[in-house]
Amino acid sequence: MTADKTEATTLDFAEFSEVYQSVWKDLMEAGNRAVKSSETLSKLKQHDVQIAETPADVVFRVDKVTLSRYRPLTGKKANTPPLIICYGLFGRQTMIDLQEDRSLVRHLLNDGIDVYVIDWGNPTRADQFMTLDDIVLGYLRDSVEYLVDQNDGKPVSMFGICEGGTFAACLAALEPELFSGLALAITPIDFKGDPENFRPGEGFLNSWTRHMSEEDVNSVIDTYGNMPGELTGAVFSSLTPIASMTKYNLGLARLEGDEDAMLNFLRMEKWISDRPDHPGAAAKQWFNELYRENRLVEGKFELDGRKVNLGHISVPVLNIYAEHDHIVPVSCTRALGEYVRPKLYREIGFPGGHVGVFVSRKAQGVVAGGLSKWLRETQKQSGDDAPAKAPAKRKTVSAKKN
Amino acid sequence: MAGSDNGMEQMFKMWQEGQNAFFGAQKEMADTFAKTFSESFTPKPKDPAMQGYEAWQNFVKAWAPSWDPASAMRMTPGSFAKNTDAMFSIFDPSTWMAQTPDQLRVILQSIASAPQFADLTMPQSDAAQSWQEVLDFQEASSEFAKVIYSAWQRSYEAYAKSNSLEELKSGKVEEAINTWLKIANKELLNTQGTADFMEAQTNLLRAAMALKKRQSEQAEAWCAAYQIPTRSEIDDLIKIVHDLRKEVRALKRELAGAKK
Repeated sequence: MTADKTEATTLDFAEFSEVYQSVWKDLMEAGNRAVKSSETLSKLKQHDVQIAETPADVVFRVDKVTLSRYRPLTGKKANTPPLIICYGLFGRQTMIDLQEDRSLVRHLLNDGIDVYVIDWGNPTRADQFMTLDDIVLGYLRDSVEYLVDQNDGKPVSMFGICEGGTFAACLAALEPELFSGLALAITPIDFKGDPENFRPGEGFLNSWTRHMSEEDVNSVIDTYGNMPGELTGAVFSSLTPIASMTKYNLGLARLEGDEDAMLNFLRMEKWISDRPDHPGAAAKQWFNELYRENRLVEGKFELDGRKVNLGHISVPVLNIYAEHDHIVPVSCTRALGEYVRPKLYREIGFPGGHVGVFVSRKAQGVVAGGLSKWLRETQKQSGDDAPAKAPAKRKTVSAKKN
Repeated sequence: MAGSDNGMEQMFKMWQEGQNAFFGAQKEMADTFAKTFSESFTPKPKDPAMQGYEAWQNFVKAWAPSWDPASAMRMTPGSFAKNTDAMFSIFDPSTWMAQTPDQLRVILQSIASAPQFADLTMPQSDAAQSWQEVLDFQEASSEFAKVIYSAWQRSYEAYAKSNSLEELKSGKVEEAINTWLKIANKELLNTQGTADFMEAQTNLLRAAMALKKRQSEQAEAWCAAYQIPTRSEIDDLIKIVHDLRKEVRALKRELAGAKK
């Protein structure tokens, strides 16, 4: 760095040429790297890029929503209840099984855990009136109840991710007897968070939504019927502007034709491009009642006329958050700790971003390993000692003051 | 019959004056429209703060104060060399979309907000509203582009301040690119958190939705004219099915509870 640029050398044409040549040389080298990547890319076909390949069978279906059970990968059987994984509606649950060596699902199956996953299907305008009430107390509860029945009436474990974590937390607060434990990852609970302490680039979703009126939010959703996946995708891209602008040029060139690295990149692209539309009525509740009005932590959020009191969550809770989460800031996720008894509550802070929690190599040990360990430690289930289906004790915690 | 002749003469004079007044009004209206249209396709005077060329000049001067960037431009072949302003105006978002003079807005507003008659369709009113919405969208897009453009401009300035020509001459271009991307990312993120950005973003969203709604209305009118079910009619049916489905689900649950 030059502290004082007033002494900068006068740039005559010769010097200009020198700099130009130097830059040109570097650009040529970058071009060569890009050519290597381009060559690799031209050899790859769509069928080379596969995600979510762990075999699973649909065991339960309501309307478009399905519950699938993953086939065991080993003969090992963990002494834990079945685990049901619930992703949100802004992305696809395939994130948990992106590729063989970066698969949360495979990690759990290898540890002998019985894993189920909910797929919300592809909402269309025919689903525009679907509310969060329908999702949480309809489809999600139906799926969990099915699994409880399959588990001889004993409660099951739930792992909710992102928006799906909010669904799971709401259901665990309203129907605690269905659950033996609740694990959440990158889940917004306090939708305002602590804006004063957001890191640079964090919390845009929170501030942008709050800047809009209820009318603005409703106008978008009423116009399209749903919240279009393309729109939410564009919003997510804009949260990391330079990364989004450079991924197809500099980003690809820098992979220097490395096929493995390129396949990782393409799998991620495949996941990103598969962004479903969010049912309209539910999106209105999500953005207005939760993001704009922060009703959940204020104790004012209702589903089917029932107030959701997070203090009613009375099972062991594992809360996984990303320390550099630009979509759901840390303060938005960790807020759950204020509502759950300390002896029931554990956290794992992952040193990465929102998506890195599942797709980075490091996450396989920290997140998948941490979840598996927590399940085996807190969710033991044996035939006779298993918790019977009975209403859990409820503890009322007053709403957090905002 | 002098009185009668005089009466005819007076009537003729009145008719003639009336005709003159009518033609005068027509001419005035035509002149107003002609002026308005010609202005609507002429960009507004440039905002000095938004001049791409000036920004570039400042950027170059920051690196090499004694170098005249205009001299480089004179070496450039082609017509742009003769008119550098024209070339750099390409990068100025304020020139991307012609700004509409207020006069046209006033005219459109007066047509769009005129009282409606019960038995007369008012295509002019609909057209004026549509046109107004297009103009609003253009303006909102332009305002949004300006906010982003200013962020890029600040990035150039920040980069020029923190990096010297010597560093570039060292040949570490990759490093220079990384530094540039880091600075630009930081500036863009800062901008995305400003009130100006959020205001421009919200206005753009509102303008875009108004246009989209207008398109839907036009599509519905077309469907209705050709006996095709409209979006609204299908939405009504979907709502009924949704409510019925919910009712059935609640009854099933009640029934299952009663059986237990």
